[in-house]
Amino acid sequence: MFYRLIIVCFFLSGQLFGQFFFRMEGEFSIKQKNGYFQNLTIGHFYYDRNTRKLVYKVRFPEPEVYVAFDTVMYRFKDGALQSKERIPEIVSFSLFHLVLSQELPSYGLETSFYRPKKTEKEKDLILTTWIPPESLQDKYGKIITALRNNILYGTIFYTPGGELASRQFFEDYVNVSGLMVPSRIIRITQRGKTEIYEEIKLRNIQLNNVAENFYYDFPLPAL
Amino acid sequence: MYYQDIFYLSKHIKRDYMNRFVTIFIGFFLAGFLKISAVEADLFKYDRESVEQELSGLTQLEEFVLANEGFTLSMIQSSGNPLANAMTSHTFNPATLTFFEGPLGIHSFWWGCCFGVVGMAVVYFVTDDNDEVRKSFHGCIVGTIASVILYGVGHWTGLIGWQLR
Repeated sequence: MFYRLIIVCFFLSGQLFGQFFFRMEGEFSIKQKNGYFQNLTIGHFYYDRNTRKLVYKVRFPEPEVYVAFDTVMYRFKDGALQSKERIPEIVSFSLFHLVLSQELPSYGLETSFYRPKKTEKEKDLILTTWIPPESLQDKYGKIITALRNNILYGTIFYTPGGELASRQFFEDYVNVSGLMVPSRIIRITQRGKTEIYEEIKLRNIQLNNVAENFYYDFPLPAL
Repeated sequence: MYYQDIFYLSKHIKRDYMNRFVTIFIGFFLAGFLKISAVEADLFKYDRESVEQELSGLTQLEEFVLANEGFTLSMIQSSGNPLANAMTSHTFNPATLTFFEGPLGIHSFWWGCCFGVVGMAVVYFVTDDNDEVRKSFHGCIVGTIASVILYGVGHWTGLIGWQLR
């Protein structure tokens, strides 16, 4: 009985005293350039793992609110719904979800259908090649992740045909209540002869803010 | 947000842990024989300065907006501030950040649909991407069929040219 108690206490301690992160918010800027158009978006984001709503309160170029929930993206202006459209289920694979669930180092691939094919050290980087199951290799390409000091440094995505699709770099990590969060993400997407550049900056990141319930559980109209 | 590749993973969570174990084991076993090529390792390097240079116009605009809370693009444009010229697209759509939108931010399908073969040519020369050209081809077919139907209806109702007797 005594030993059982010790074992139960041992496992419970992790649950009781371990920090559970469920909310994340902060300011964001997204810059995009692909040679034909340039775009800048600035605003505030909110994500709650429980409600699974990802909210972008955009203030530039014009004030708007975007809410990604399930497979629908809602757009609001002055509090009124402007549009809603079907999207892939991206929320649980967003950067915010991966950070909160502490799955960012593997880019969430450990819990996906991808499997590690090989891992090796290249200078200060640990490179892992992930491949989809054989039955899906005509739809999905391989992915290489790079860890530096046990945090995600970059990802390389390939097309099913083996061509380079995009590269992402996660930089300028900040420690927020013990969670390491990249505050600068560079994405370079290869499209034929052109490269699309994107830079995402995150600022003033806060975790587990329980004071701002409205945006974390943004009211949505019935489908 | 920018989660291009992520959505690919959004389904198919596999629960076969035995397979995973075997795959990981084989993966590590093969790791000794298969080296990640130096070319791939080099892809984890990029020229930070050149990216910053490419985005410099937008960075100046970003700094201005961050320093002037409440300013919108239309306010900056109406004040005649040249920084506003850095913006050539005003649409933010977090869902489409993951997809290529085609030349000038117009989806390749609509290039083909609205401009037919000429639109396809624009997509071909600008993107050099077979997937985008295929989308524009589908648009071209849809546009052509729609035109024929509309033309027929127009004639049938007498709204266009000659009338069927």
